[in-house]
Amino acid sequence: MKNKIIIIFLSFLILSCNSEDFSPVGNYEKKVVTYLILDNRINNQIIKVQSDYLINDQNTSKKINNLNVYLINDNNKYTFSDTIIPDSKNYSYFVLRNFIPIRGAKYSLYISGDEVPTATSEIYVPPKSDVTLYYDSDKIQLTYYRNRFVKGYLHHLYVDFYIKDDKNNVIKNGRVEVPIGIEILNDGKDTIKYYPTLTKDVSFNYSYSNLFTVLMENKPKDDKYKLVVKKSVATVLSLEENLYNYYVTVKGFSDPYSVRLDQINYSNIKNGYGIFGAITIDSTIERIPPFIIYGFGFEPE
Amino acid sequence: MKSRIILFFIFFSNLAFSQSAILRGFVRDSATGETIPYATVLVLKTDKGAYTNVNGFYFINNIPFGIHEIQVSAIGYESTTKQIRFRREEPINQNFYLSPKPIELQPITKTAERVKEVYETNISAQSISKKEIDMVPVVIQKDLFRVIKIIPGITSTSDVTSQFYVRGGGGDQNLILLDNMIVYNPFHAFGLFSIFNSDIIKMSEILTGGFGPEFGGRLSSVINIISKEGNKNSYGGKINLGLLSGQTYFEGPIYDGSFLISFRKSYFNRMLKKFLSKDLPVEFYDLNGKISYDFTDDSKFFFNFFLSNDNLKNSKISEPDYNWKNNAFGIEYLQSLGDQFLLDVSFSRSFFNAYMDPKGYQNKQKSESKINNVFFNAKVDAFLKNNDILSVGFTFDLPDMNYSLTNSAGYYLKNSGHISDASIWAKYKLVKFGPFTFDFGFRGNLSNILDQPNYFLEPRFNFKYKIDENISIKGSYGRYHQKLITTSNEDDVIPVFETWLPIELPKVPERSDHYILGIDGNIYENLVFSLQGYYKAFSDILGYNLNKYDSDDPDFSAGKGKSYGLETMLKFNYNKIYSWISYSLSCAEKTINNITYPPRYDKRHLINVLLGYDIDVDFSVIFNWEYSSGSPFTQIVGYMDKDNLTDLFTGNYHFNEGNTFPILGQKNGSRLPAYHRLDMTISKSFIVSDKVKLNTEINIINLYDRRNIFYYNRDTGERINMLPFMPSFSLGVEF
Repeated sequence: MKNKIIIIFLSFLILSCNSEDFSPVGNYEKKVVTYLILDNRINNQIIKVQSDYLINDQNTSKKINNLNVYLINDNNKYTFSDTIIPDSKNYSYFVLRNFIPIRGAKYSLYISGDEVPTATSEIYVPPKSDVTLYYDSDKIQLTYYRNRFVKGYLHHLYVDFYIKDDKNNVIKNGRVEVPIGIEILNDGKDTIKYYPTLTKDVSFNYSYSNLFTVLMENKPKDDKYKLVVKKSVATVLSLEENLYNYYVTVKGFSDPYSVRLDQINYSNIKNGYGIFGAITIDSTIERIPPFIIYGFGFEPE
Repeated sequence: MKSRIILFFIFFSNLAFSQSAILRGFVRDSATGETIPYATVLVLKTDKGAYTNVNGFYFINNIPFGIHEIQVSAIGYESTTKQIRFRREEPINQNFYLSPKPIELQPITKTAERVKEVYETNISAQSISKKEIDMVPVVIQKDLFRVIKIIPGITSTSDVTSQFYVRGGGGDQNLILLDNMIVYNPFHAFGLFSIFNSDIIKMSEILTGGFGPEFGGRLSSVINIISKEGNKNSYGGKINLGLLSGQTYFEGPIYDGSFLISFRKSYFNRMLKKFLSKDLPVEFYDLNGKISYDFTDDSKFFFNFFLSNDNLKNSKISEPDYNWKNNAFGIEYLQSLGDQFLLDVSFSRSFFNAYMDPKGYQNKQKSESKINNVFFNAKVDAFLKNNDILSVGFTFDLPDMNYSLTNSAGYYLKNSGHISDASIWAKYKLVKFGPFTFDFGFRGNLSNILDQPNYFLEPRFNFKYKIDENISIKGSYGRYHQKLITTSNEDDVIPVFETWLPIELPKVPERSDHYILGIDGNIYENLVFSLQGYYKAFSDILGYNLNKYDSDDPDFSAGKGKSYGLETMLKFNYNKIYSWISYSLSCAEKTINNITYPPRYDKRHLINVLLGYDIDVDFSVIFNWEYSSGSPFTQIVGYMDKDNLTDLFTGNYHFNEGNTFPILGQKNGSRLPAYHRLDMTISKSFIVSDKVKLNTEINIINLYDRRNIFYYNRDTGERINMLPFMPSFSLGVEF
């Protein structure tokens, strides 16, 4: 009897199903994936759109047909037009020509079509950020306003110069960026220059020695040529909050001390994926005080 | 306050010093001289008696003057009786030696009885002996960590890992001790085996909840492994050859003591490749040793050590190499103090070192995780006049952590951390109070007094109420804190490389509260059962901060969690059949970043059936069937081409093509198919001579070739299954 029980028990188990189908894919829903960054550096705004898709599934396509793409700002509607340029297998491109976003304005994005639910998003374009460059006695101070809707900044300091010969003919015009730090290696034979990265700070001090170093690198070796310093230009790129969040998450949070190994899929697109953001540039031009230039052994313009 | 402390000591001094006789000593195996844990020592015709502790020590107080018969018994040993005259108040040191007898039948039920007796008040305690490890069919090798999964409430996420999860707790929430040495990552070959050679294990305490104040620093469970001391009377050993590895141990007497040494090494890596369908060119070895020395009849000294090493060398340049090392050594000293005290002091150093070497592929650098720990533990048991036991102790746990890795930003990160944990604890065990028995105590973390005063005290409480001679109701409550966590990519299928990190201010330690209530006992002579319900509340548990956007935001955010369930276990034997059946109904969830989800190890139903049949004295067949509901996982709902916005700042970013990126659905919102598997072991022993025994064993894993899913590769779309039908055999010589 006992043996029979065991045999029955085993038979039941052996005859039980030995495999179950399993799909790791949940309910796929065709949605918009889009990237639009309103950029005041250009006058043609470009948006790229695709559909999410399934790998190894012939029924899904990255392209979406008959889409309407437009922006709304204060009851004004700006419609993007379809374009076949460039030839991309992944995205469809739409363009809004002769359009520069208004600083501080709110824009709403709509992408609609028969195949997908309407994707929407809204952002505020960064307001103007007044950039100030001040040549102090021992440092160069760069400051700009902290704006609402802006989470990150990237600043640069450039110096424009030209090289002239002993007959005052301009041989070459140049622009050089001032690094925020210089590391000297191999007893001065090599250097590593560090340039600004995305930051939340709204002020920064450059050192004169870094300015001097990069100018010296451009100084002609032949004494018949001279370097003449024209002006300095400071630029500040402002990243709208959503664009900042997206950008830093794809760059590993820009955190050198993080122990994280994952990547967050940040998006501000309702009923879709991707990012709708804005980036703006502000700049100021400042003459470098002549006594400083002379102090370096160069000539002011 | 000062007067209260004086009164406290006067109170216990009065309890401790009595006018009655005392009997104490060790109970040992007469063949090997090994101490026997959980043996029963009874003063016949009185109500006096005791059980030996894990070191084989017993203590009976308050014995009336006169001549008494002392009966000593233990599972697997012939009972012995000795007549002793008690006429003085001085304690009598009496060691007992029991002769072993073969355990042909009823091993499981008897073991359960023993456990029940030892852990009178904690229903969530089990112990597993070497014998029980040998009973369970195994994947390639005998392993304690595979056996403990039969205990309800303990689960794993795959066949090919010994990593285990207890009652909804994480894999890093289990305190693992080998002879009082802390072991941080006790796994070989991605967790395929534990690093503990089963041949050296004398006894393991498995505490799945409500553990006492003598243990701390982890939220969920304690695995306390006691190794054998070695044969004190003669030399002996064992050689065992399996398909994957060979192992041997040797033991024997040394002057007034004994030694034991065991070694295990892998030698057949192709087996892994064949059966796991994955190239795992892994090699490992481990070396365990112990020297014990008896200074006097009531003092003992132990020196313990273990070394283990795993090497994984990938031939592909794109696949990293791995190495794991676990080394530890420790000393322990036991001494009877005065008439009624037992001192147990231990000191150990543990070293864990793991690295992952990408071999310069894609300019990635070596990741490394190191722990260098100093652990000191001291405790005193006071056996009081009324048979109650007061235990006090303190511990120093000083882990130093160093880690380096290339993070998701591509930065090479090198950092270190240190924890200084000094804890005191006390436990008072009331042996009899009518039908009630209970113990209560606390554990206090001294370092928390200064920096986190709210997290100082951890109360612990256990009670038992005897309904009748066979059935008891038991309950437990305990609070636990943990300051050390592991981190790995939460989306990894097997967390191959984990980094231990301290939880530092301003974050507070993780906390759990255990509430357990149950009933257990013998329904019939051959049927032992237990039924228990638990509720576990977690707070301040850490998970990835999903709102981290930049370097200002912390990597982790604190959340809460809970787990609850019902567990039952039946152990019975009938004629030559014995069985162990467990069932768990459990539910676990975490809430972190305001998202509530079940952790990957949340399995609603767990069933385990162990069925053995002794065909003959040395010939048996054992079946083990395991069923569990599917594990939670996060579904893919599509893919997208993710633009990394390269050249955003130069303005040339519009025409980036992007990288394929999976879009995930609700976190752990779906379940894998249910898991079930039947294993079988046939074992037969042959007596070659008086001193030599040949052991053969055939194991069949996954008898009906169930295709249990292990994981799905999101990049390739490949489904990877767990172990298929897999026969193996081993041959061993015991001498």
